[in-house]
Amino acid sequence: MFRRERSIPLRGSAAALCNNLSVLQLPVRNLTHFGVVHGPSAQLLSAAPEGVPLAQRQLQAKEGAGVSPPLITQVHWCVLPFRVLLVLTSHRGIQLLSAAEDTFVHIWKLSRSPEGGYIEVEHCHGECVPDTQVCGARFCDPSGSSFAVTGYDLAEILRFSSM
Amino acid sequence: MSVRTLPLLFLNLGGEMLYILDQRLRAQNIPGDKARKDEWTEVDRKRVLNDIISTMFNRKFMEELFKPQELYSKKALRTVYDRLAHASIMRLNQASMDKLYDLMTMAFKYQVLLCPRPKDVLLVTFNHLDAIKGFIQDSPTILHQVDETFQQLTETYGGLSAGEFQLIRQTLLIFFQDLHIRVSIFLKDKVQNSNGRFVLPVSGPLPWGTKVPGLIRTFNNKGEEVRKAEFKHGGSYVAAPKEGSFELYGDRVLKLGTNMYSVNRPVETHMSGASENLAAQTQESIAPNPLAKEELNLLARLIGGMEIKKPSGPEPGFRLNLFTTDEEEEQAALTRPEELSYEVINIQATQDQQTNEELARIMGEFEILDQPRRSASKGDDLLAMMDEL
Repeated sequence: MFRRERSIPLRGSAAALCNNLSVLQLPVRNLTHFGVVHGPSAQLLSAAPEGVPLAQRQLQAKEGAGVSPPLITQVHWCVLPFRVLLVLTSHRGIQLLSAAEDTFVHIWKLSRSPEGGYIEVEHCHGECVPDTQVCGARFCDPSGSSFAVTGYDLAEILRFSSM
Repeated sequence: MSVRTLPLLFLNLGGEMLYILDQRLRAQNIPGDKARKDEWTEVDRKRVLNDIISTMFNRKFMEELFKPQELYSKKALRTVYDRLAHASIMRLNQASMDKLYDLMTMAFKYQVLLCPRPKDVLLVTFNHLDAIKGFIQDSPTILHQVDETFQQLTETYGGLSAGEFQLIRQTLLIFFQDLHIRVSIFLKDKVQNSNGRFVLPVSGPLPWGTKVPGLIRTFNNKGEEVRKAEFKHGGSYVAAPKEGSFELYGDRVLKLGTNMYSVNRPVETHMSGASENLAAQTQESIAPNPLAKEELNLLARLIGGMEIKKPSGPEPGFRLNLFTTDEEEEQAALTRPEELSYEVINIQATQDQQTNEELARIMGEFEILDQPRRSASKGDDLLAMMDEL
């Protein structure tokens, strides 16, 4: 069971892209970083526990040829052994594949059955995010006790934690 | 993003514009024999719709439209509809044109968002075209133009994959992002909330080809089903009864894109609280964009293909008011929030001007109402003309 926590306001709303939410946990500093694509800019923000927003920045992709500034398609934190990278991708010639888009976030448990070695799928939780087309959902901690959600046109990061 | 989005955007917005104008003209309809010289009659209404539709579906314009290209900004696209709306004897004040554009964009945004499958945006487009054909039943020439456009839509979009339609959908949603104008009939029909966001139903028919969720099926490595388990999904959906038709004629099944206006339901828009994320929006509108000139050039090319026929002889332009009274229209113009203003951006002329023969030819097709200006460059002329629209 999860309950909804305080949302984190965004300066710009989330674009209708797949996997439009990146989360980087920094437990040592008690911080969580979020990355959300708005359109031609990526928004980065950091929050303290309980979702208290601390800092927010916007990154623009460098302009190339074309009528308007390039649109960003993905922002992602990559954790490497000795550094953390923030990767931005933009739309030159890259196709995006379809993914389910509705107002539900589902949490599934994957495990391997002891007898046959089959992969088992169990549905743990379904959360309806009213009137919102969900674009991204990420766990915010390794134990999966909290998760964050972004929605198209929604200028906040929704947070949920288990009860 | 997809470079095949503009035709769908243009045709659907155009369709909504025609629904709204038709409703407004009917509401102000006066029987022919009783009408004063400045009042609308049924004949006038049909003429306005005919003129706009034949301009919209002009072959040269359609050719330009269907060329692969990126979407224009909302402000730039409004210029096209401004020209289109004035392709007839009808005149609209700035406030009425603003309201018209607001209604058009919110309606199509709603339709795109509620499309069950990304491909269904094509059915929405066909719904608009079917209705447009209804407006011009008595004009075989224009009917033929519309049918040709149908043909072109089928050729362009008929073979696209689901992924390509998804990209088109995302491109459209980016165009409509952050627009939360509240529309009275949406609020009344409870498809829009008071915060401007659309209601997404959690019950009803699923997209065509989607099974009802709630079942987990496990397969072994030979592809045989070995286990079934049910789970509570949270929604209460049912399978779609049938697929809409993509033929020239047929039951589209989907109601999105059909005419939701009627004479008895005047449509109001509410501005207050309509724009969230002020910072993001004003950043887009006031930052000088060095690429805007490029956009205007492309736009000039598009509009240049419109071939607007001006009525010959001294004919008065009939003014159409999208508000209930003239005072209301004036009031709306004064109280429109700054961030929702559609005024063309004033841009400093850049130093290097390139004379473009093609552009000069297209500019020659623009009707210049005032004395031609003596200005330093063709680029400045173009921007100045845009300001006058």
